[in-house]
Amino acid sequence: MSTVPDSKLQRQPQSFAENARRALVNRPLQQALSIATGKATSARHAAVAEVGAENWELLRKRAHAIKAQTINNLDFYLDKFSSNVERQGGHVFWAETADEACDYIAELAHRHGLNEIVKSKSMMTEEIGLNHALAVAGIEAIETDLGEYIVQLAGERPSHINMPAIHKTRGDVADLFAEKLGVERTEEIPQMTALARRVLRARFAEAGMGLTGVNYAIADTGTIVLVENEGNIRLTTSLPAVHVAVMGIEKVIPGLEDLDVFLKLLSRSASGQKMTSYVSLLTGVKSSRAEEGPDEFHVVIVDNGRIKILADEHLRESLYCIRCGACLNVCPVYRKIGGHAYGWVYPGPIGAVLTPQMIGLDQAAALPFASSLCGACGDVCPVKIKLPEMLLHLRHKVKEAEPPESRTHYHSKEDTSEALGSLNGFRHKSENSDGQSAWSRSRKRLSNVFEHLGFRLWAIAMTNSQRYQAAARLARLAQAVAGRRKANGPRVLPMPRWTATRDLPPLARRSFREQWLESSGEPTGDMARQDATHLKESQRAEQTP
Amino acid sequence: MRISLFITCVVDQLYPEIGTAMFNLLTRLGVEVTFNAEQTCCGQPAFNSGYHNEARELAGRMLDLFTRELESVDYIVAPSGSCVTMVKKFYPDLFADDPQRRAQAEQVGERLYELSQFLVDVLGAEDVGASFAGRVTYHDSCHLLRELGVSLPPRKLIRAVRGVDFVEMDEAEVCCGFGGTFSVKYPEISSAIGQEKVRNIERSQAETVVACDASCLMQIGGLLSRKGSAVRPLHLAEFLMASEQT
Amino acid sequence: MSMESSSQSRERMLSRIRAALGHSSIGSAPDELEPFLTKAPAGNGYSLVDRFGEELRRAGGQVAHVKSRDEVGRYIADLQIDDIKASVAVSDGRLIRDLGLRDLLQSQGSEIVTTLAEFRGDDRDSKSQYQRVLLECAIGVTAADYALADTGTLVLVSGGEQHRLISLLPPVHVCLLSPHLIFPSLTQLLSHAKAGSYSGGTPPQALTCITGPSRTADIEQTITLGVHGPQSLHVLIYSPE
Repeated sequence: MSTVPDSKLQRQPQSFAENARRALVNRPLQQALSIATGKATSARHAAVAEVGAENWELLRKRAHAIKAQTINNLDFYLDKFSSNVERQGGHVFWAETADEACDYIAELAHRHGLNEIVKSKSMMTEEIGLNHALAVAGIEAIETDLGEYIVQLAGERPSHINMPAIHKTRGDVADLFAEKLGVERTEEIPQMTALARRVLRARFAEAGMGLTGVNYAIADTGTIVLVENEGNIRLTTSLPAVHVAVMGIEKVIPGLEDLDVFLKLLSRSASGQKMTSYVSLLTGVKSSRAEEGPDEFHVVIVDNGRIKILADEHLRESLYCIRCGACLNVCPVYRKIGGHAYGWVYPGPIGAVLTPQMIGLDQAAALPFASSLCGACGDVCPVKIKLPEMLLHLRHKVKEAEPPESRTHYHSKEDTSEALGSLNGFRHKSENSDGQSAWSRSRKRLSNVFEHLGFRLWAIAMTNSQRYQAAARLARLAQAVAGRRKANGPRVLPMPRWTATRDLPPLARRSFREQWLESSGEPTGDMARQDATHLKESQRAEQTP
Repeated sequence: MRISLFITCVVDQLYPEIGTAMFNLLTRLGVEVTFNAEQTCCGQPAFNSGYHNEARELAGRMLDLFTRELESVDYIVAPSGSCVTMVKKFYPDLFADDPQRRAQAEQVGERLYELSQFLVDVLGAEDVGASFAGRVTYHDSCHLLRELGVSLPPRKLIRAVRGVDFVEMDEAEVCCGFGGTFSVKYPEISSAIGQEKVRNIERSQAETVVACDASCLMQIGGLLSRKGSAVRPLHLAEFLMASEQT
Repeated sequence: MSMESSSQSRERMLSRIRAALGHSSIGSAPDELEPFLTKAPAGNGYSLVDRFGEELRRAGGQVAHVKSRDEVGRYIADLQIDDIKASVAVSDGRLIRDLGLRDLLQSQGSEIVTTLAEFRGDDRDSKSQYQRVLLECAIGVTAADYALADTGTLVLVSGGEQHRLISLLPPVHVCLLSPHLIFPSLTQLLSHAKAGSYSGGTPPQALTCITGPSRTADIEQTITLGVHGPQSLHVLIYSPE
């Protein structure tokens, strides 16, 4: 059994196309996605309308400006934040890698003699594979957010940033509870919720350590801010003796006066609420032992590839994300395929932007292309991240990294491990750690070469009107000779990827350009210079009966 | 008022009738319309697929062509929001490291319009003298809506048509699923998104669906015709000239 | 991890961040953004109290206006209609002490749970015991330190009244609010907080904003109340005659 954190084992964005196909024929998933994202987008829309379009835009611009200020001076603000946390009696651990963060937390739990901790929902902890790492260290991490609890019982990843169990029907949950909790099966939602409450309260009562993420880290005061509806964060941060908060470096904001803007934007964008049920502002440790709350407070500040993102001017702003999930809810692609298809921790448009940066372009090359570039994500992003432009930029980066001329550094990591694997005889056949066979990778490489070549030839044809005309004639010939037709329909170019589900229009017998030239009798440009006489002659020829 | 047509490769090769309708419509409104047949493609397919070098080659050529045209016309007009966006928004980005080309792109962009924008905002024409009996709905093309901010002009133009029964469909602003090469790279997802659009069109009970981008019409039309639907997809230019076609 | 290696990581990460941004050193503080004034929400002819009530109801909480100690007692007695003997946790807030609420409720027949302060000690065991007792309580009664009108939010600040767990563990939370504590919105409260305890001094360990009962929609987007926190929230706006 491998000791690799599960975030690496379950990484499968390479099989995106297959994942998506499966999701599309999964009827219950389709229905769940439709309802959930529909509700979320309507609620968001109504909440924004109540604020007023102009005010909303002002808030967004302000939030973007605050994030720009912070991210562009991140060293200053992080330093200030951590100093203030320590000044208020908290401990700060700086983790450059996922492993460092997990090790720190495991060691801390061991030091306190704990073999179980309670935790609230945190995409950060998903990202670093914390639960798996703790399990390997003999510590059970109990998810307390209802949606996370459900997916944990099911052994799955969350499929949405805010609604982890969006892909599960009440029947699924009923089956799960009956099987894993040994109770009588019921599909009544209040009863299932009450059951989870009971079970988790028992765990809370015994817990020696509570672990949370961080929504906002306030540099000025060393305060962390946590936003929720359920109350499990309040329980996690007030019952156990130790509280550990895990955050990415980008979570910091300058001061208390900045918090309001983000709170106004976050819950409205996520679920259409003006304010979530609970917002906790936590600073350091209490001043007297007699007070309620934990005795110890730790903040784990994590890099895990963010500093690399920071260095890329085109993609730096992807660090502005406040994890509201609005881009997922509005994305026509996410709404059809759901979160698991993306293959890693973050789904939807923000996932398509972060994943290639965090686990490698070659691993996640499909994601930036799996978008119709409709721009709805950029429209709804509360911090005005230019997501569509980032997707375009990533597509460019993917193609830049695939020069057809030199295949040596493309997929070199897999080549090496494949070679090693076959040498040592472990693993099996020539599969790399992500489950792709050598054959499918060769096929992909070949199709990439063809694509590069194709666009090269296309550019050659398109940069000269005679070549363009020739190419158009060639295409019409191909259509006539090799085209397909529906009964009594016109012949169309053979494009099975289109025609599997849609009719294709035929190429026009005479393009607009040809019609123009024929009717006006006045060719322009290159043709005018070269062939005016010839054309006029042929026109006269056509007109004679 | 003289304009030059930026016909777009999709209209040129697949839907020349849209170009013809556009020419006739503008002529009828008193605009002198010319066309430089040297034009090919704005380069968007290459750009969207990540091939910036190829896109730049096409872009440079198109910019020179448009610059020449603008010496003798007032505006360049295209029957497509996405191609106009490519030139106005993405050409300057493509030439970020080439100040001369960048300036050229910005100059051309200032006098480049999508058709409905041109009719309403430049010509000031909402009523173009058209008539059309029947229930019509409108699909917002993504670039036109989100990049160019054009939402009202096509609706004004449609509403001004005599006899028309205009209905807004649900989620008119949601993507049709075309997305350029996306439609063939991920055809199942593309079609699934398109099917939602078709469902919304059918729910509106419109007999005709109008859009300002031929690629959206190709996607929507392809799905409608595959299911044998009687709903007719029309480009705005064709729709506004429809009463002339009988 | 030793203190030394921890500060090494810090230095390493900060210098990597600087390199990524193209800075040479932390240097001086960056210029601050100009202040952004979010206007206090428009009155609409409503008072802050009315606005607070309206928003809290929208968020699923209940609001009542009470003018006397007796009215408070009656309200809580009505809540216990099914089980007058059910235990009630009452916090040690100033307003609650002044009203003598604990004695009143006790005289009405409720079993009153002592506060943490009155438990044997401040060691972990006592705290666990206290928590276990609270977990059995039917109702928790606290006061609020502040409130926000534009969202119907109660604000509880730790360090004074022991209301953090009493407002969270029992399934019913009753909260007394004096109207003069209602701020228009969070901006104003945070400015006030910044000028006070948050600026350099000792900020509260926990400032908790409560807007309505605990809720979830994690199963089929169907809203259920009382998943981890209270299922119902009753705010009694106390304006004595």
